[in-house]
Order: sequence, then C-alpha cells, then structure tokens
Amino acid sequence: MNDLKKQMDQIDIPESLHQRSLQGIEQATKEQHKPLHWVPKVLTVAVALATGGFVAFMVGEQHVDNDRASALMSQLDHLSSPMYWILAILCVCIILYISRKKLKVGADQKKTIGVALVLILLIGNSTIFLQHQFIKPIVVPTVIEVTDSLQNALEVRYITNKDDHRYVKYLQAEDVLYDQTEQANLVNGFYYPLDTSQDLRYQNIRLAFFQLDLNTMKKVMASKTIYLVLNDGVKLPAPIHFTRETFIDENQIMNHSYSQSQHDSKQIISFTLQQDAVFDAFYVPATLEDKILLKEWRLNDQRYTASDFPFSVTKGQRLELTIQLKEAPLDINTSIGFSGPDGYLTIRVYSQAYFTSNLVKKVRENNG
Amino acid sequence: MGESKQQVKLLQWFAVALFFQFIYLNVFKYANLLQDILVYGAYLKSLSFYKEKTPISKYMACAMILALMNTFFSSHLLFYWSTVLIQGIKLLIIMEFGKILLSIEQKHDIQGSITRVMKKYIAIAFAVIISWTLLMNVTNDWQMGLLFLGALFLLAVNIRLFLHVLALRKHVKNKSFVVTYLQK
Repeated sequence: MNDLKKQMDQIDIPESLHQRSLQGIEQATKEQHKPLHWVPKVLTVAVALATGGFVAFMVGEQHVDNDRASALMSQLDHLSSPMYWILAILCVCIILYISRKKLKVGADQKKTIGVALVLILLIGNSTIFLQHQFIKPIVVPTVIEVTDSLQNALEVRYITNKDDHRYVKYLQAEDVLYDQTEQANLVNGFYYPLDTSQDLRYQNIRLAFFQLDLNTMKKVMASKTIYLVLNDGVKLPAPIHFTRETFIDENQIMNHSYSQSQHDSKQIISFTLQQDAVFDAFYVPATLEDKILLKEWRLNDQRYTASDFPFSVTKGQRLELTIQLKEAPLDINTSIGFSGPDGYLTIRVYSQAYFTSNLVKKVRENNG
Repeated sequence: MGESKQQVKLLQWFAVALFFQFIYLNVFKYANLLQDILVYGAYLKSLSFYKEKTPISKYMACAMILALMNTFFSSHLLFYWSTVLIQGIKLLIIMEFGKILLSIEQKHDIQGSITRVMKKYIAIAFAVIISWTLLMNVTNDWQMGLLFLGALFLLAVNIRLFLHVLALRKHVKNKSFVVTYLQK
C-alpha cells in the first residue's frame, strides 16, 4: 500500500494538464447551474413586461381622459389614481425582490414560478378590472313628464363604481341647489349602499330622489343644463328630458286603466272606457317616438295593428294596448296611449332600463 | 434531552397557530387583524424554540403590513390584491415550517408523511390562491362562492396539517420520555 502511494507521488503531472482539468471542473459546474437559472429569469421578464403594460395602461387611460374631458378636468376623480400607482410601484418592488433573492439562490424554482404566476394573474385581472371602471359616475338618461300637481317626484338613477362611496346630494339647475329628499348610505363590511336599484359586476346603479313643487319644477325645466351634485362637490351632467303636455290631462277620456309589464320589455295596458270615443293615432311624447313602439291592441278579442287606425270604442268596452320598449339606457316616466278627435286616452308608464354589461358600455360611450 | 423538549414545544405552538387559522375571518373588518395577531404570536412563540435562521418573521411582517393597509385604505382593488398576497405569504410561512417539521422528522428517524401532507397542502392552497386572483372580475355570487369554497378548502388542509403536527408531537414526546427513562 505504501509502495503504491510512493509511486503515485513520483508521477509528475504536468502543470498545464492540471490547469486544464481544473477548467473542466469549472465548466462542468457552470453547465450544471445553467438550467436552474433561465426559467426564473424569463418569468421575471414576463412579469416585468406585464407590469410595464399595466403602468402604461394607467398612463394611457389618464391621457385619453384628459383629452376627452378637458372642460371637466378640474372635476376629475383624483382619488383613485394614486392608488393605481402605489400598486404598480408595489409590483415593481416585488419583482425586484424576487429577481434579487430568488435568482441568485436559483434553487427554489417552483416557488418562483408560483409567485410569478400569481403576480401575472393578478396584474392581468387588475387590468381587466380597471378597464371596466368609470372615471366618474354617470347619470342614466331619463325622460320625465311633469304633472300639474303640487309636488313632482323626480327619480333619477346614476351608475357608480362599486367602491365609490360618494352619493348624490343635490340637483343643480340655474345655480340653485335642490336637496335630495332622503339619503340612506349603509356601510356594512362590504360597502353596499341601500339606494342600489341594480347590482352589476363592476358598478352599482343607484337612486336619487327629489321632490319639487311646480314653481321649482318650472325653473328646473327652463334651465339649459341640469347637474346632479355629489357630496364632494363633483357635478355630473344629468341628461334629464322634461316634457309637460297639459292638454293631455285636459282632454283625458274617462277610463279605468292599469298596466302590467311582461318579459322582453313588453308592456300591456288595459283601459275600460266610460264613454264612447274614436281614436286615430298612437300617442307617445315626441322625444320617445323611436324608443316606444306600438305593437298591437285588442278589442273584443280581436287583434289590430297600426294599419287599422282609426277605430271606435264604446262605453264599457275593454281595450288592451301592447307596447314594445326598445333596449336603450333610458328611464321613462311619461304618458302613453291613444289620441283622437274626442281627446286622449293615456296612462303613465314607468320603465327603468335593465342594465346589462352591453348597455353599460353603451352609456359609457355616449357619455364619452 | 432538552432538544426533544424544545421540539415538542415548537410543535405545540405551531399546532396552536394552525388552530387559530381554522376560521377564515377576512370577510369581517378588524376581526382578521385579531386573528392575525393570535396566529403570528403563536408562530413567533413556536419559532423561539428553533435555533436556525428562517425568513418566517420577514414574511409575517409583510403579511401584517398588507393586512393593515387593507384595513386603513378601503379600495376594492387593494382588497383583492391583499387577499391574494396575504394568502400567498401565509402559504410561504407554512412551507418554511414544513422544512422545520421535515428536519424534526429526520432527526427522530420517523418514516413520516410530512412531505406527502405538505405536497397536498401546497397544491390545494395554491389552487385557492389562483382562484382568488379571479375574484375582481366575477359577479357577487361567484365572489361569495369562491371565497367560501376557498376558505373551506383551506380549512380542510389546515385540519389535516394540524392533525399531523399533533401526531408528530405525540411521537416526539413519547420518544423523549423513553430516552430519559433509559438514561436514569
């Protein structure tokens, strides 16, 4: 055994050969480490790109907004934009942390992939989420027929982002503010206001309720622009269209009536007449002529359509009118019926648009 | 046999922390903070019996900051992000503890199943986290459903891990008892 060791020591290994073997070992260790490194790197780059896109998207949206609403710039919602920036910066910090810590260690590949996957999903989902947010609340277009009674009830709906805690406080017309009658806001764990009339994926549709006497109403009607004012002072242009057709009430034909809505935006209205009358046209306010269509009417179990005008009805007969409301982001509170030489046979129709995501998109486009 | 005793204490407090985690209280405001304090307190107590370096306390600080941010700024987006990130950090903490448990099992030559338990725990918790990244883009009903289902799954895997930790603790305790008896 000792002999062998001596022999081994006697063998002279050339210096160059020794160095080459050392190089070989070095290269081998390098190659061994290589496959461990590239996956997290690629993932980090992907996350970084996604974050860049996210930030660019935020900046882009702000610019579009500024161009589009330069007149309303001062009223822009500045509250939530810093939050987006904080999130983006947080994102970058996390990526830096991962790339620093994990890439150097390189051992915990699966963990890095997991973190990257979660981050990409979060950023992607946030982008979709932010795309669906409103810059500021939008008032639902409304057509309201004003009555001659002492108090007019005004119900206006507006759409807010789900985490927008502001509510409508005033109606502003001609530099006069009219208070909202009552306001109930409930914060209960998840913020869910009591005045929500429809609950969408990203937005709530909420109610503002005003009561105005006839004189105030006239002032409101005379003013060119009407705003709903939020509790933080932001003004929302309110596309409310008022009509006031006093001749309808004055020439109303005596009747008993009731209406009932049906699916797919159909409404059936029943009149029982208390006098004989002749009608020669379908009556809707001029602004709604293309939004509300006459479908048919029934008299003595017979169906008639628009080509059957004029027609006569005798006292005590039942007349059934079916109307079709076109799908539009529009709330309606107005009189609809028949007109003729003897007067008007109308009933007040209330209709609130049922908002689908498509309809929300439409409102948004119209508002932009 | 101080080491075994310390390990028993570590396992005991880890079990306590897991017990506090059984109920997912993030839905209620402020309740989650109380839960976090209890859980992290138990974690810290458990870690005080462990000599080697772990990044767990750093993770806990991150999770606590996120939880506080979520409490003081109410924004939907922040809520979704913190829900996912906090759950992710909690998973990382459990993974670190998994390493500790593995080292304990190896020291006692136990043909333990901790790797199997942890694998399932990680897979299910990760699936829950992934599903929760989708929370912000689904309807209210789906949100509630996803949160509830996720909480249920987390409860199940936590209970499984809890039982395993209790069994391990019992094993280590019995073994240490035998050893001390033999030494006398």
